[in-house]
This record gives sequence, structure tokens and C-alpha cells, in this order.
Amino acid sequence: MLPDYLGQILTRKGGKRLLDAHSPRRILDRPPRFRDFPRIDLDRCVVCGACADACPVGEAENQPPALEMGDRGPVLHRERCIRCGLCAEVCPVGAIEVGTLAEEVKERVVPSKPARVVVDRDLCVGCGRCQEVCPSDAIEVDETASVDPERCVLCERCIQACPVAGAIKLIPLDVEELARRWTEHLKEALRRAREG
Amino acid sequence: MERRREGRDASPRGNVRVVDVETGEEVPISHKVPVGPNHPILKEPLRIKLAVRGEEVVDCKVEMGYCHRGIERIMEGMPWQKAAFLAERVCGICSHAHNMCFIGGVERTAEGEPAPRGLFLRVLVQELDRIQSHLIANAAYFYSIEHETMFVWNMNTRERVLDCIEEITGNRILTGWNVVGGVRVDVTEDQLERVLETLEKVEEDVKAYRRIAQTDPLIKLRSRGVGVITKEHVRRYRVVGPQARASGVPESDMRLQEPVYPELGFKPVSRKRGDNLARILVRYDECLQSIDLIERIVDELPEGEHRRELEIRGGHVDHRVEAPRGELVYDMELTQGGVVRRVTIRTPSVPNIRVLEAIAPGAPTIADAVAVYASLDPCVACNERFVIVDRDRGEILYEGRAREVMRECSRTTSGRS
Repeated sequence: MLPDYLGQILTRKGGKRLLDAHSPRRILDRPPRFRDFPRIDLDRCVVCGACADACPVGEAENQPPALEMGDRGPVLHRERCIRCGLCAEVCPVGAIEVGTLAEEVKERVVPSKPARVVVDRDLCVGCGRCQEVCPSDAIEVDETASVDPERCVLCERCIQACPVAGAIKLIPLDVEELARRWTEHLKEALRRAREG
Repeated sequence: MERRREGRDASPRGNVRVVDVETGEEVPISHKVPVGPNHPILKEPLRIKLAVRGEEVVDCKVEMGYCHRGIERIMEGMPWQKAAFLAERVCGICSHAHNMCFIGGVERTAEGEPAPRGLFLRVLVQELDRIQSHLIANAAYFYSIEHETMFVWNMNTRERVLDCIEEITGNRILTGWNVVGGVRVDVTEDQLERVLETLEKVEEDVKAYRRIAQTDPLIKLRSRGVGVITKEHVRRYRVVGPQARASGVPESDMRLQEPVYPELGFKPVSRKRGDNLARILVRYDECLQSIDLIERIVDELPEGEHRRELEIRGGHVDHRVEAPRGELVYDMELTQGGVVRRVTIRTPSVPNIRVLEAIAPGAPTIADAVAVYASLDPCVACNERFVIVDRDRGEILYEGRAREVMRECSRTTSGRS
């Protein structure tokens, strides 16, 4: 009768497990909150670039980031990833998964948007095509369509899908308001520069 | 017998001459023993130059500067969301303290108060971090006196504490737990119960280790009366943390001035002897005290939100936190919105390693001098800073010209690579 530990080694599977250190297998039981490498669902990605902006790696000079934007979505470099989970926090459509972090984080860091999608209720026929194509579930159709500006990622797919010309529009945010903020900011910077 | 070292001018090559203060005669030295920068007993690069007469250590000199990483420079221009992750990479053992100190500093420049539940959870993880740091410090000491059984036992218990940290934050060391206004995610009742269950076992273990350290004759032989830090040393070298509290200075605990601890009825522990053994025992005392604090935090955890949105006004801030090794200081300048303009970090190991020059001479053997070094809980990588000195004027540069020199240096290094 072999001891237990020898029996495990001498079976075909056990011997393979001993020799093959690189095979993917579960070594320890991780808690559900364990932050593994981010898993990116490219089908849901809307290529907004928020994750690549949030990545804290690559902020220093001569250092590439861990998450870069490709043509189809973010490309992860595992050797540089520090598993902080910021990409999952900022993703507006929930396409990145890092443990249970994205579900548990209450406040998402919403990037400031340069424009807003608006539905003209007089023209909207309530066909629901925009709701079907919206990647971030920002549109609800109830007689006419309405857009949740916080969830909208400005992909303009709804505008392309809409059968009525001009029913959904992309309106830039208030230019005057932006100009006022920038003037204030510049004035403040000038004042500081004069004070030394 | 008091001794002093001759100035640098008398020994241009850095050789050590030891002169008796009372008689003025030179003390004979048989050997000079360099320990480091790369040495089996050192976890991190550091050079300790020992002058010995026979086996007795006569003089000691510490040289730092083998592990500078330039984190303060990299942090300039980063928003707080990213800089918080860099801050916790300053130290590999007490990383949560650095994160907490950085975020606490940013919060002091912000408008409004952080969420109370978030502050309690922050302190909860900080105390877990303190237990694991003290256990690894004691393990390193026992390894330096070749007591490998205690080394392995301490490290084993530390793993259980790391499991608790992983359960709550999702990672074992680099937690990424704090954000401005509170903590990142809330905890559940189940998680807290599991943590308390684990800590019950940890408490038994730590009590057993403390009893062994107090009674074991071999540990006593190597530790009692070796490397005594007096109150005079504490004043002169600004020793902080458990090292100062082992010499009877409980006021050195910065937790007395932090927000949550007064509500928990916190009182610092201290011992009077100031030798290696006292430092080990103070760390065990603090582990048990931290377990008590965690139980109290779980009882009194306030309900409500765990994170609040704060508006960061910016400005100059100087924030202090009691890290596991002692007082940690972040001196920062922030812009509106929380971008780091300038940051200076002082870690507790800076004064704690310097005191070795005073207490290692008089150690009966070279091995004891190394044990004294290990008992100070040194962390080399986090205390490497640099200053730019104008050699013509002999003064330290802070602003203006110092910036130019640093920019010039970074340009030349990037050109080479």
C-alpha cells in the first residue's frame, strides 16, 4: 500500500501536475474580491479610451503604459499590469472585469463629456432601434426614446440606426460655459505667476 | 567609556579611527569588517562598516544610497487617483500606511469631511497591516540570531493575517484600499466574522510567541541587555515607533493624534529596558493591542456610506501617520483638483537606522551588532532620498536651481538608455 503522497505522484495525472509548473490550475482558494488581471470583453467595448487614460502605469518618463488603446479596444500588457483595478472602475459599459470590483465600487469616475445626445420628442416614432444598438444601455423607449446622459458614451450608433433624420442629435456642451471656466483658470494661473 | 569618531577630514579614505574622549588616545582596532552592500544577512542593500577589536565592536558607521528609486520625482504631476498607487509602492511591507498617509494628506486640503465608516475601515486595515509588519520584523530578528523555529512560526502566523487583508481588500500587500473620502468598497458582515475568527487563532499564537521570547534562555542570552537605546539616544537621533516605545517613550505614538483612535480608547504600550528583547516584546504587545482595536472597530463600526465625494482645493499640507515602524511624514503641495506638484516623504527607518551608529559600539560580538541592526526593523528601500548640495557654498538646494539639476540628470540618463 502506497502512502497518499506517493500515490498522487505515481498516477499519470499527478506526475504531470508535478512536472508541469506552467499549466493553468487553481493553486489556492482565492476570496471573491481577489483582484486578478483585468478580463476585457471586446464585444462590449465601445473604444472610449477611459481605461487607458486611467491606467497609473506609464505616468513616468520613458515608461510604456500597461493598458493601451488598439483599433478594436484596449490591449493589456500583463508584464506591466499592477492589478489596481482602476480600468474596471472607470469603464462606462462594464466591459472590464477585475474580481468583483466593478460591481462593488459605488462611485464610478465619470469622464467629463464634450457633448450630449438629445432626442427630439416631436420627431421620434418610438421604433426602439436605438435601444437595440446602444452598447451601454443608456436609451429607454417609452412612446418616445430618452437618453441617460451619465451612461451615454457618445458612440453615435443610435444616430446611425435612427430611421428618422434629425430625431437624435449630438449637441456640443455649452461653449460659453466652457470659455468662462477657461478664462477663470487662466486668470488664476496668471495671478499665481505674478505672486511668484 | 565614551568614544567619538574623528571627522572626515582626518580620514579622507573613510577609514575609521577611534579616539577615547577622556584620555585622547587612539583605541587600537584589530579589523575593519564591512557588512554589505550585498550580504546574506541584509534583505536590502546597505553598508555597515564595523571596526572591531578582537570580537568586540568598537565603532560603527552606516552608509546608505544603494537603492534610490526616485519615487518623489515620478509622483510629480500625477493626479491623486494614480499617485495613491505609487505611494503604496514606496514600502513593500507597510504599504497601506503610505497609501493612508498620502490620501489623508489630500483629504486635509479638501472641502468637507470623509465618511466616518470609511475612516473606521481604513484603521481596520491599518491595524491588520501593523500585525503582519510586526510579525515579519520579529521573524527577521529571530533569523538574525539563528533561531529558525521562531522565524518560521512567525512567518506562518503572518500568512494568516495576510489572508485577512486579502479577504477585505482583494490583495495581500499592495491593497489599493483608500480613496479620497473613504475607502474603495464596503465590507460585509460575513467578511468581518471570518477576519475575527482568524484573529482568534492569531491571538493565541502571538501570546505563545511572547511567552517563548520572555522565557527562552537562548533568546534571553542573545537579546537581553544588547543594543540598549536610552532616552538620550531617542532625543538625539529622533528614534520613532516601537523602537522608541521600547525605551519608555510612549508619547512617540502618532496614533494619539489620528482621528479614529481616541474614540476606540487607544493607549500606547511601552517598555522600559530599551534592549533588543524589549523591542521584540513591544511588537508582540502591539500585535495583541491591534487585535483588541480591530474587535472594537467591528463592534463600533458606524452605519452609512463608506465613501464621500470631496472637492480638493489644493495647497501645502504636512500629514503624519503612525506606520508600523513609526512616524511617517508626507509633505505635499497639491493643485486644485488633486494633482501632485511636489512631495517629500520621510519614512520612519531614516532615524531608526541612524541610531545603530550609537548603539552597535559596545556589542560583545559582531553577530550581536548584526542582531541589533535586525532588531531595529530596518527598511532600506523606502528611506533612500537624495538632496542636492551646492559644494561651493556648502548649502542644500531645495527649489529653483535644484529643479534644473534634476531635469539635467534625467535628460542625461534617458539619453544613455
